[in-house]
Amino acid sequence: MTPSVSRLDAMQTSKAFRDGLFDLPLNSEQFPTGSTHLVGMLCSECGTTFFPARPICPTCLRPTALQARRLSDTGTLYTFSIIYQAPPPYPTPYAIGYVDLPEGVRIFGIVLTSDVTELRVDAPVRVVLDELWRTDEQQVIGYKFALIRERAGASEEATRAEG
Amino acid sequence: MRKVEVIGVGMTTFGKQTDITGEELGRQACWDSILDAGINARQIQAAYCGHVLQGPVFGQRVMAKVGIAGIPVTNVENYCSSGSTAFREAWLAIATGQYDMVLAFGAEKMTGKVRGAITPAEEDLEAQLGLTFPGLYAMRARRYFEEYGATPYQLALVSVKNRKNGTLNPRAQYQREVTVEEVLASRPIAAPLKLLDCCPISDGAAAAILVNSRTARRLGIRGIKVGGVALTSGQLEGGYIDMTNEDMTRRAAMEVYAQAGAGPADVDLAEVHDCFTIAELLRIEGLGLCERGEAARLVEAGVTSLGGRIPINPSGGLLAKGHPLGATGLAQVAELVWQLRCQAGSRQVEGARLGLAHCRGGSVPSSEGGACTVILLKK
Repeated sequence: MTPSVSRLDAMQTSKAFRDGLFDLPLNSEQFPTGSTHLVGMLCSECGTTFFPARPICPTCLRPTALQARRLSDTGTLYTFSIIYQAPPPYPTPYAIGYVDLPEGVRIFGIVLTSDVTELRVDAPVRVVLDELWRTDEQQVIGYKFALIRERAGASEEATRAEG
Repeated sequence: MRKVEVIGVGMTTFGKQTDITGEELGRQACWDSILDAGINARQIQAAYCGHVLQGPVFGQRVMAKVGIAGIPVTNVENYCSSGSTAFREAWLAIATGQYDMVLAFGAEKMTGKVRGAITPAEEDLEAQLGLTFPGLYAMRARRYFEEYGATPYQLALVSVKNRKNGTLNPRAQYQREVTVEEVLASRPIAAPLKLLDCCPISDGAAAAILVNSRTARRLGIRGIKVGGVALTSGQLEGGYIDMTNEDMTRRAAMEVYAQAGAGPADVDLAEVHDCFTIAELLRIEGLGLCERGEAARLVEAGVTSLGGRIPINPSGGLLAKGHPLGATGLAQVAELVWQLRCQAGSRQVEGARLGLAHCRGGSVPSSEGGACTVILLKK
């Protein structure tokens, strides 16, 4: 099966940020949150996995033998920052980071955490859906990373950005 | 390839210059370079203009103000490497025998056009997801701290050094020294980077006149020789991109060292793209001036200060001199020329014979970056 992004049927005012980057639940009846999978590509000629999908392999430059690959929904934080000054649409401060997924890709995104002091290199994160921004007509849904907090043996996902 | 020399340079003051247009800034720098070379401006056969934000046919508009019309004028955009890429085009045109005398210039009026930091392209995936340039370098700094044990204190020392150098450069935007404490206490921009870890928004222009060596001899001018020029772009990479590495810089530097028959140990001073304090450390390592992970220690030991073994950014760098995007690469060339002619006044690097300039511009998702240039000039 080729994973692909679907339109959000239930909420016509929502749309995915770009096509094909991540899984969206089908026929979702509410604002889609929670974990998701990013969709990259695997080149079966040279074995490279890359994200986002593009029509040619960045390693061997062959356009053939590319197939969509659903990437893991958890990874580790390679590095991070807290942004205090930024152009619209994101209200500051917010945390960003590059996340290493086990398939060998390093991916940029906003990092959700209720406590920025918990951010550290190599911290485990989960890929989640969240609103990126909204206009009068539309809510744009994209992927972010949520810090997985280890607490008393159980893990809890942060869902809200500090500030 | 023919040998090329720089026979004239010009540069305006950098800084916030509300009452002057980009065209006028460009005109001033071009005329300064023409006067510096002592040539008849009609001898210029072509011009290359580096700029980012100045609109259509900016180079031609500047040249019309200069009073030279009718010659081929090419506008070059490589973001923060635009000016140095214009220099490379001029060098290539002469080295390959197309022309004997070419003007390379860059100018940028940023005031009124840029608020906050400059940003990646509007349709850039990562920018749309919240990436800023300070954020990108902040993440490189965080990882650098993690891998090499460097500290915000050491980053601040880069700012302190370059701001001090800037007070010795009358054309620099900032003329005031800062302390480590001031840098660390300045407002956060993108943790761990503070305001004084970041270069400012600037207005300014710079220019250089290039000729082949035979033309220089014919004119009776002893120019500064172009030892090598290289331009690289980021490799498109699947897999994990090492954010503490400067592969683009390394490849450009290796190419230039090979062209010049020199190595990093021969470099007497370097103007490097210190858009952020962490950037200066990464560039020094990428240029092979020290091992990876060593640059923070070198800065702390004063090795990169004026009077040290390898002064970095004696002009004040982007951090103190300012960073009018298209002008930056040519301002670096101007500084090297002044240093190699022993005209750098109180910031003169004693006995400088070989100078290196490094620029880097833009970000490209899935790649290390946009454009990187290295230029080697020698006495």
